[in-house]
Formats: sequence, structure tokens, C-alpha cells
Amino acid sequence: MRKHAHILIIILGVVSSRVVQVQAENRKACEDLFSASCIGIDGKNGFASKLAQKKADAVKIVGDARDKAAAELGFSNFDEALKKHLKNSGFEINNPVDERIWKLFKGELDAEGGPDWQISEALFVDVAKCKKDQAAITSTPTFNFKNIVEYSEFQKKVDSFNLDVKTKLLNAYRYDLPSFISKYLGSRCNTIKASPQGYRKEDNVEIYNACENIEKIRWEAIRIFRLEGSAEYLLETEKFLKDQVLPELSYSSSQTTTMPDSPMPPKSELDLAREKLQKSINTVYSSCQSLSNGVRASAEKVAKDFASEINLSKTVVDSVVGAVYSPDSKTKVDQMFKSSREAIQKIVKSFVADPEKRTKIVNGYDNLQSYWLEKPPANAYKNGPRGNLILDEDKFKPSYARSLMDDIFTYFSDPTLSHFTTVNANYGPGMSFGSLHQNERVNMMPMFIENINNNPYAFLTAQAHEIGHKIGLKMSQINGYDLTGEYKDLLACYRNSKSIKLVRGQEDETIADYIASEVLARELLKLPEDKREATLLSSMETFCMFDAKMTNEGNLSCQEVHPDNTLRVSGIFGANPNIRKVLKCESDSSLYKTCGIDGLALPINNSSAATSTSGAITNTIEESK
Amino acid sequence: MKNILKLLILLLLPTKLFGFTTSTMEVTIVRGKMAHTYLVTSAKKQSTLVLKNGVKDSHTKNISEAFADRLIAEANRVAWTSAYRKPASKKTCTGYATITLNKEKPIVVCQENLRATGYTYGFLNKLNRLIKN
Repeated sequence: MRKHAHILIIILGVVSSRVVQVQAENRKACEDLFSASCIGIDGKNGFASKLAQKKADAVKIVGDARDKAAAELGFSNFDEALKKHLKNSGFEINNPVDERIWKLFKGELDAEGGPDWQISEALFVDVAKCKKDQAAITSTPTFNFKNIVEYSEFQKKVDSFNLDVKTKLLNAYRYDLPSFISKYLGSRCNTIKASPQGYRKEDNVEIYNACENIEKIRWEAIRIFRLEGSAEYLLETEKFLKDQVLPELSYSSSQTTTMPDSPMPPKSELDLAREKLQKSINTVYSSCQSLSNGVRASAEKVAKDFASEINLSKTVVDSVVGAVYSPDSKTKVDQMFKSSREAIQKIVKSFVADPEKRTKIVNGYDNLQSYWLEKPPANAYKNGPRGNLILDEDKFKPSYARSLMDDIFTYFSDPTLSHFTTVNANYGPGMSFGSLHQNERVNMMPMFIENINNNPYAFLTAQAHEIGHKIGLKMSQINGYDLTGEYKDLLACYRNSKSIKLVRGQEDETIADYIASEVLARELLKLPEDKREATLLSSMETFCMFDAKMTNEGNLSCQEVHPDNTLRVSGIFGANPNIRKVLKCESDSSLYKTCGIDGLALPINNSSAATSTSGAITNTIEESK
Repeated sequence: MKNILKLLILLLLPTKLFGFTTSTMEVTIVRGKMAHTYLVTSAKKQSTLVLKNGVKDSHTKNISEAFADRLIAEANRVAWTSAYRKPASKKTCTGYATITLNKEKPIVVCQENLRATGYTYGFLNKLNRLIKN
């Protein structure tokens, strides 16, 4: 225990010297903590790049692990393995490929990426070729053709193009029957249903017939879908799709029929050839669009299934878990968890008067756990189809699962390994579903865990917030110790127009922030006076990053369960009476009314504040032993 | 001239313009008494991603129609994997999430289907990042 505390002393020593550096003149921590913490001298929030860097670091951990697994299978890296797998499935990727679009396709970027056809064209050889051929056909001045030979030669070219696209489309949808039914077939049916006059039956006989039988076709698709992974799947799919591939919708341009005054002259052979060609060329326009949709959707499914398979390999699991959930980080996270939990237990004892309720909460906190992902044992793996070890799903059936929401198989079968690249943390109340039980726990996800080393006070703030959720307004009702009465005055204060103007639905997050601010105040008090303000500013880093992201990307209308980041920082943390006392601020700022629970006032005598340079959290650890 | 006009109409009018079709997807995850619902609506006029979690329409983000279609397609694949892929026929189904497509009968993603749960978990995290970032 003492050894771990010493490690923290070293880490926090480094951190303390760093936070002193970030302290600058004219910071207005007492007046507007958000501006002081998040806004640079240029008047802008500069934390977006920090969040991007954190995300890039997390993606790199995942990427390195996948590269290692791919190397074991004989590929130079994961990208090469994925591209070869896609090619073997009929989806050849352009070389070179636009890196941004490739990352989007792999799910490594959260952005729209532009129109579908543009993305598909940038990614897939077949779609790019289709567009090129399409342009060649549609730019040919067919109105200049003078004889039937010219028409018939060009007709052959167009027919060949349409057949080629149809074949490729068939190949694509072999891998994605759900999209074939809902998108390819379903969208045609929806269109004729919504506009039967625009797309009349006589012009779209095959589509009308398919739509009349859509339920039958769907169930046949489901039967085949159930075979996925077996030898007969691709054969059955191919056979099924051959019967179902439809022409493009044909728009019935003339919606009213009028009788001509005189009989129409019979059409010449040239007229008929021209009409036939025109109809075929009209199909050319939409067929590349169909191919683009089909290829992209199906290739996405193929890529996701492949990524999921690689993710489940022992190499990826061990690498990722080892990199994020290291024994060293676990020691620090656990120590901080225990320290904050104990602080909150003391806080509860101070403001919950009802002895029965108080005991229930305090004792309940003893059972609250800090979730930690461990490497699975060797017998959790089996030999996979590629000869490598992969997680054995049978060993992770729910009855063996570690807990309901934190199942390792779930995390690693997710194609994007999002658990490891998402900035989030959560509190989960204990719950049971049938034979399954989940322990009450706080889950600091990997991108937060990394903070334990880089910015432990930001970690502490987030972790204390999650621990505080156990005594939130709604959560206290769910957990059986309603604290509505205890929070009445505090919430009334936050609802005040001079405070954060709390809206209905934000109570639990606001209380969790408030509890975290109380824990933070107690930790700051243990620091030497000259380090308190800088430490407080750096502890707000997560809020600054979230704010930067939202400000930069905009396009969001919010009435969120969390108050706005500026309000959370300045109106809750910055307006906490204990934090204000620790910082020797005036009792109220001009921006936000001070809000806190009366019984929690710290007996602050600044002259007796800690003078140790070892750091607050270390002291807490020492105290808790 | 008439023929050119006719051709232009054929070329410029995508099928959806005449169809006025709207597709929707709803994914709900319930933990205890807390529910998070993501709703994607794909429509010509405006496609949206909405997160409801206790507060009415707590988050709304405008997205492109093509992007909405892609999200709906992903939800559809997860729903099929959960509902139809072996080993879907379990004696028990412990609900992990519910997916409703085009207001049809909801499909429950069963915790017993670990792979579908993994895909759903990734999909939910993606929706969460999309709407909050």
C-alpha cells in the first residue's frame, strides 16, 4: 500500500509542477471559473485539440493491437488484412485511397463524410469505374446517330454496362440481405406506394410484383440469413438474389392520356431503336447510384464482421486491456475511488439527518465498486477459423458473465471497439434481470482512466461525480432512500435566476456535480495555498474539452440532462461555498449565486492548511489507510 | 425541345422526390428506471438524430438524409442479427435494447446474443458521440 502511495507522490509531484505552469496572471477563478479554466488569452477555448489528441491516442492503442493481430495472421498490418478481406469478398478498395474517407468507412471518425456516392466512388474500384463508364455513355451525343447500325452498336455498349452493374450489385448484396430487403427492395416499394401515379404498374411490372410478395421474399431472405457463416450461405444467397434483382424504377411521365386528333404514324425502325436506347440510357443514370449504395452498405457489413473477428483475438484483447487497464493504473484508480467514496460518506453523515436513511446510504457506499476490466483467463479462448486464439462466446454466456453491462465479449465483439475510444463514465445501480445480476458500480471508461496519470484532479472530479450519482435526486428514489427533502433548498438555489437556472430533468447531474465539488474542495484544502487555484483550474479540463467540442461543431440544440458546461464549471464548482473559501474568494461572484448545503461548510482555517508538497490525493490515501 | 425537357425531368428527379418517403429508427436502452432513446428520422426536408433521456427531446441534431439512411441501415443489420441469426432462438431473452424500424414491431436485442449485444453497444456509443460531439 505504502509503495503505491509513493508512486502517487512521484506522479503528483510532476503534476503539481505542471499545474503551477498553467497558472497565469489575471485568472478570474473567483469571478468566472469557466473562463479562467477553459478560455485562453485569445478569448477562445483551446481544448478541442487536447480532446482530439486524447482520441488519437486511444485510437492508436486499438490500431496497434489490431496491427499486431493482423501480423500474426501474415499481413503487414490491419489495414492490409481488411483490404484483402474486402477484395476477396468482391469489394476492391482504390489504391491509393483517400485516408479520411477510409477512416470514416472503418468507423474511426464520427462525421457524415459527404454524399454516399462520393464516399463510395472514393473508396471502391467498382463504383469509380461505374461512374467513369457512366460518364462516357451519357456524354455520347446519341442524337447525332444517323443509322440503325450506330444505334445498335451503342445499344450493345449500354446493355453491357447495365449487365455489369447488375452483376456487381448482385455480388454486393450477397453479404447484406438486411439492406437488400429494406433498402433495395423496400425503398422501391415505398416509392410506388407513395406515388402510384408517378410510377405506374404498366411501367414497373417487375417491381409491383415483387412488392406484392415482399413478405414472402423477406422471410426467404431471413431463412438464408440464418445460414450466414455456413458453406451453403453464398450459394443460396446468389440463387435468391438472381430472382430478386429488379430494374430501376421507371417514371411514368405522361400522367394523363389524351386521344390524338389523327392516328399516330407508325414508328420507323430508327425511331424504335432511338427510343430503346434512350430508355436504356435513362437506366444508366440511376444504376451507378444503386451500385454505390449496395456496395457501400454491404462492404461496411463485411468490414465490421471482419473487424469484430480480429477484435476478439487474444492478441487484441491482451494488448488493449494491458495498455489501458494496467495494474499500476488500477492501484491509483482504486485508491482514489476509496478516498472519494469515504469523503462522500462523511458528507452524507453531515447532511442526512434521518439515521435509518443515513445508515442505508453510508453502508450502501461500502458495496459500491469501481469497475475494472481484467484480462480473461487462458481458458476463455478457443482456436478460431484463422488458426489464432479468439474469445470463446460459450465461455461468456450470461451465467458466466462478469456482470450484465460490462461483459468483455460485448466490448470486443463491437467492431469499432468503442468502449476504448469513447470519453465517458457512468454510475450503474445494482440490478438483477432473471438470473443475471449486476453489482452497483462506477465505470470510468478507458479515455478517462488515462487521466489518472496525466491529470489526476480532473480524474478525481469525474470519478467523484459518478460516485455522487448514487445519492442523486431520482437515483436516491430508485435506491430506496429518497433525498428530495434534503436537496430542496440546494435545488431551489440552483433554480434561481442568479444561479444556473436549473431546468427540470437536470437535478441528478447537478447534484452529482455538486457532490464532486464538495469532494474537490476537501482535496484542494489539503494542498499548499499556492497550488490550490491552479489545481482547481486544471481539474476542470474535462468540462473545457466537452465545451470546446460542442462550440466547434455546433448544430446542436440542447436541453440536456447536464447543465451547460459553462454553468457546471462557474455556476456549480465555482459557486461552491467551500471551494470559494479554499480559494479565499468573496462569498458570491457577480455572475453566480453561491449554492451549497449548509451543514457541509468546511471549518477552514487557512493558516492551518496543508503545507505538504506531496499532493492532496496522496494525503487522502495515507489518511484512508 | 419537348424531348429534352422530358429527359431532364427524368434525370433530375430522384425517386424519393416523388415518393415523399420517410424512414425512422428508434433504439431504446433501459437500465433500471432510466431509458435512453435515440431516434433517427430520414426525410427529404430534414433528417434528424434525437436523444431522449428523461427530458423531452433533450438533444436534437440535424443530419443529412444519406447519413440518416446509413444509420438506419446499421440499426436494421443489428436488428436482423439479433432477431434472426443463430443462436437467436433462446429460451430466455434478457432485454439489452429495443430497435424499432419504421414504426414496425420492436425487435429486442437479447443479452443472451452476445455478438448482437456487442454490435448494439458500439452502435449506441456511436449515436451518443454523434449527438453529443
